[in-house]
Order: sequence, then structure tokens, then C-alpha cells
Amino acid sequence: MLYKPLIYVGSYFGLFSAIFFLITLFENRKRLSKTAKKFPSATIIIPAYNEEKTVAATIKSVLALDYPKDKLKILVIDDGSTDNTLSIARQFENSRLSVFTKKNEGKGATLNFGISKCSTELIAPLDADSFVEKDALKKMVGYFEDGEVMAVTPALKVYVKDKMNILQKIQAMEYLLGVFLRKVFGFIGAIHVTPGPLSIYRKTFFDRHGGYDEHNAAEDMEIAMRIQSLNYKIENAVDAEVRTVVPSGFIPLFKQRIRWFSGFIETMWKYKCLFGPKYGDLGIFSLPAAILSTVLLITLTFYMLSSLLSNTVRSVFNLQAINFDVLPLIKAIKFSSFYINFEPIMLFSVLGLCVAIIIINVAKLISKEKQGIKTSYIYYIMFYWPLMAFWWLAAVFMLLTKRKVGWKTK
Amino acid sequence: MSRNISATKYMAVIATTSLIFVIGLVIGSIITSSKLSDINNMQQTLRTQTLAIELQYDLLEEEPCSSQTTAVEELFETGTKLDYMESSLGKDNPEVLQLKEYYSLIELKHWLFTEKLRKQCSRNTSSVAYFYSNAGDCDKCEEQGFILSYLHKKHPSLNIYSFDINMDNPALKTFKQQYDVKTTPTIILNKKTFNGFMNLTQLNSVIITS
Repeated sequence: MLYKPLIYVGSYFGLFSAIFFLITLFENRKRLSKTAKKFPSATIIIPAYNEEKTVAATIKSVLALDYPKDKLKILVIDDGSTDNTLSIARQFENSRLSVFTKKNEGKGATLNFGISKCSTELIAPLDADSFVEKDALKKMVGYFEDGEVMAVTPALKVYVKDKMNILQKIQAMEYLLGVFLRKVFGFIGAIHVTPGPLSIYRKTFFDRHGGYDEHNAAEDMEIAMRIQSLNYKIENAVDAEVRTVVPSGFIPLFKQRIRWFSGFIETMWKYKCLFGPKYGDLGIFSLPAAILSTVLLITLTFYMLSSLLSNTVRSVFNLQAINFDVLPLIKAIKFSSFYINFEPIMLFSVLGLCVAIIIINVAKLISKEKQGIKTSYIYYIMFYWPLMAFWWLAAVFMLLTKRKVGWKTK
Repeated sequence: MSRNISATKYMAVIATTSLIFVIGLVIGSIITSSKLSDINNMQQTLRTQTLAIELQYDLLEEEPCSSQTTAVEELFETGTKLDYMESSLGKDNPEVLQLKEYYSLIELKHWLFTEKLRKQCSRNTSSVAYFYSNAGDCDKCEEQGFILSYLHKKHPSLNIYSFDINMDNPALKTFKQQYDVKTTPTIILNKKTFNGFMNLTQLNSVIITS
């Protein structure tokens, strides 16, 4: 029986991480935000491939940014879209906003094309289905006053249009937890993803160390790991809000995750040298934790699902044996506190649940999230973990069978 | 940038985590042992009750049949709780095994007494002694147990006494020998032995005819 020891390892590790995160946040509670003293010149690059539905709103949100007009340039790069993306973008062209089009090559190549057109101090790629808050850029640029900072990430949240479906609610919770984690990782120098929706980079980094890896399925992770491997800093501005459209259907979400996770595996392998004490908390905690949590997640989820399945099958057989006459069984049910499960495993599960709720609420608090999350907890806890395990296995399968992982803008 | 690992912080986190972990384990084991002692207390009460009923039977020499059989529900409740502990602590847990052996003896005593009453006083009760195995060699035992407990819930006058065939105890050994119990599942209904799985229809017809 490997199940019980694994649960204990998982609970210990989960509890350890949660305490580590909360202590780190508490230690740095006075450094949650940074006010910019000056506003460096910046270019926002919007790579777009078939984003006719959202690109206009993305551009409008950028045009509405509260930032000195003479310091901000906007580039929209159409990556050979087959829909109306280009013509929509062209409607906004002016002295500050330029639109380019090129043949379809993928996101990394599109971003590199954009970078080659930039001459500003900072470069900020923004996915064409994401929207920035007015003050987002102002709240991020202050971190660049530290010369070692090469990138700054925002508080990335889910864009809510009307009502969200269950999959979107789950992702909203996931992103909110991500907001918390990215801030904490920022404090310990361990951010290993600079997401596509508005991460800002210092241009000199691209000049010295090259642009995006055009062949990596998760180019935003590759670049972050590269920055870390060169011992530069990546910071997080938890009060800079950026919202992104998330897939509403199972298949698009599945495809997105397969791309992310295959990219994750590929990048982790490429930067395996980052593991170990030489890279501080990143090397001894955050990267090993990412791997360990994945392994635990997959094994525990599949163990639980298989035991749930076998219990269900057994119950059905048993009920069949009594011709499904369940009434006498129901009548005989008597509640007794004796049958409440107080095993350590159950106590740890309840504790884990409480810690998760605390962390989500802390995330809500530090990122000043106004969106209600009432029912999302339940969906998140019930469906997120099995979905994650499934996506991971699919991603491993794709990599092992060397299937091509296609790209879109996120 | 310089990357520092704060050993103090890691030690503090490890200490806090371990402390919470140990507290969790201690609370869990305190509750488990209180549950086990709960069962033990129930068994002591049952033992006293059984003894009292037997003595009452012996004392009422003239009209032994006016003695009461009680404690059946308590007996089965104890059995259910014991099953629960067995499934959560494992069938090889020494405390569970000890409680289970004691429980089997009380069951056996109870069974003998109800059989006696049934025979001598024409009491309208049926008793089923059911032998099972949870050593992994009896595929049908769980289903058989489920059907029997369903029957008891449907007809409360039908008493079910379950015995683990692997229980090594002189009294149970003799019981098994007397009724020729060698395999599982085996059912003894009104002193007749039925080897092998019996479905609901078979059991119903046997109970009605007996």
C-alpha cells in the first residue's frame, strides 16, 4: 500500500510549502508594491494571430493606459492571421501605434520581429486577448529602478465577460492562486514564468542574450528561466492588474494546457542546471517543488480515481444482489459520531483545505480582487486536480510520442 | 544578483510543519484509541448482559421461556463499529484482532442461547451464523455479507452472526468442526450448513422453509 505514505508525504510537503509562502509574504509585507520615481520609455508589443474578437478591446485598453504619452509606443504584429485581425488593428494606427504584418511563423518569431522594431528602454509583450488596467504599467515600471531587474510580471487574472462557466470559474481560482504564488516567488527570486499578458522586459536583456526561443512551446517560461540562469532578477507587481480571456470549452483548454505542460517539461530539462543550492530558493525549493507536486498530483489523483471507480463498481454489484431494494438500508441508517473519520489523513485533508482557502483569500486581498469567488472554491477543489493530472499525463504522452504541439497567442 | 538561502527560515518552516504534523498524528491516534476503548466498553456491557440473560434463564427453572432475549441490536451495532475500525486500521491491527476475537465469542454465546430458546420455547426467530474470510481468498464474501445485512435490516427478527473463518480460537474451532465449516462463504441456518454463495432468492427460500 503506497497510498497512505504518499498522502503523508503530500500533506507534509503541501503544509511545508504553504507555511513557507505565508512566512515569506509576512516577512516582505512592507514591500508589496513599488511607486515609480520615473517613467522609462516603453513599447507594448501585441502579437496577434486570428484574434479578431478581442484585439480591438486589447488595443483600446492599451491606449487608455495612464502613462506619459511621449514615453509609450504600441506595436501590433499580425502573424499572418486569416481573419479580420489585421484590418481591425489598422483602424487604430496613428503616430504612437504601428501595425505590421508578416507571414505566419509562431508566437516566438512574432515577438522577436516586434523586438527588432523597438528602440525603447522597456519592452512589454501583451497577448491580443488580454486587457490592462489603466495604472498597470505605472505600477510595474518602478521595479526597473533596480539595475538587476530584467523582467516584471503583473497580477494576471481571468477576464470576466458575462457569466462564467465551471471551467472558467476553476481557471479564475487557479489564476488567483497564481497571483499569490508569483508575488511570493518574486520575493525569493524564484519566478520561473513571465506570462504573455504583459510581462515587461528590459530591452538590454534581449540585446545581450537574444530574443524568444522560437521553437519552445512555452516561450514565456523559457525566457524567465534564461533570465534566472543568468542570475538577473524578475519581480512581480501584485497591484498591476491584467485580465486575460481564458478558454471556455474543454478542448481549447486541453490544447492550451498540453502546450504549456510540454513546454514546461522541455524547459525544465533545458535548464536542469538551475536545480541545486547555487540558485538559492529557486534551485532548492521552487523548481524541485514544481516537479514534486506534479508527480504527487498524478499518482494520488489516479490512485483516488481508481479506488473511487472500484468502490462504485462494488456498490453497484452489491445493490444488484439485493435487487436495488435500498429502502430497508436507508431506513436503518443511524448517525453516530463514531463513524466520523478522524484519521490523521482526514485531519490533514481538512487542514489542507483550510490553508488553500486562506491562501486564496490572501491572494484576493493583496491583489485587491473584487470579483466574488463563492462557488468557485467547490469547483476548483473538486475538478481542478483531476483535470491537472489528466493534462499532465497527456502532455507527457505527447512529448514521448513526439507529437507536434501547435501554438496560439497564449 | 546574490542568491541567499535562509537556513533559519527553512528550519523554522520545517519545525512548524513537523509540529503541526505531529499534533495531527497525536489527535488522530487519541481519537482512534478512544474509539477502540468505546468498542471494548460496549463488549463488556454485552458480556454482562449475556451473562445476565443466561442466569435469568437458569433461575426461571419453572418457566425458562419467559426470559427475555435482548441486546441483539447492541451486539450488531458493536459488530458494525468493529468492521469500521477493521477497515480503517487494517485487518492485521493487533487491537482490532483482539477485540474481534472477543466479539466472536460473545456472538457465539449469543447464538447458542437464541438457538436454545428457539428450540425449547418455539421462539419465532431465525439465526444465521455466517463464516467469511477477508484474507483475499473469498471473492463473494463481501456480497454475501451485504445481502445478509440487508436481510437483517428488512427482517429485524433475523439475527446474523458473522465469524471470521481465520479466527484461531478453541471455541470457534469446535464450532467449525461441529458444523463442518471448511470454506467461505458458509452459512449455518437453524443448525443446517450451506456451503458456498447464496443469492437473495436462495436465502429467502431457505429462511422461509426453515
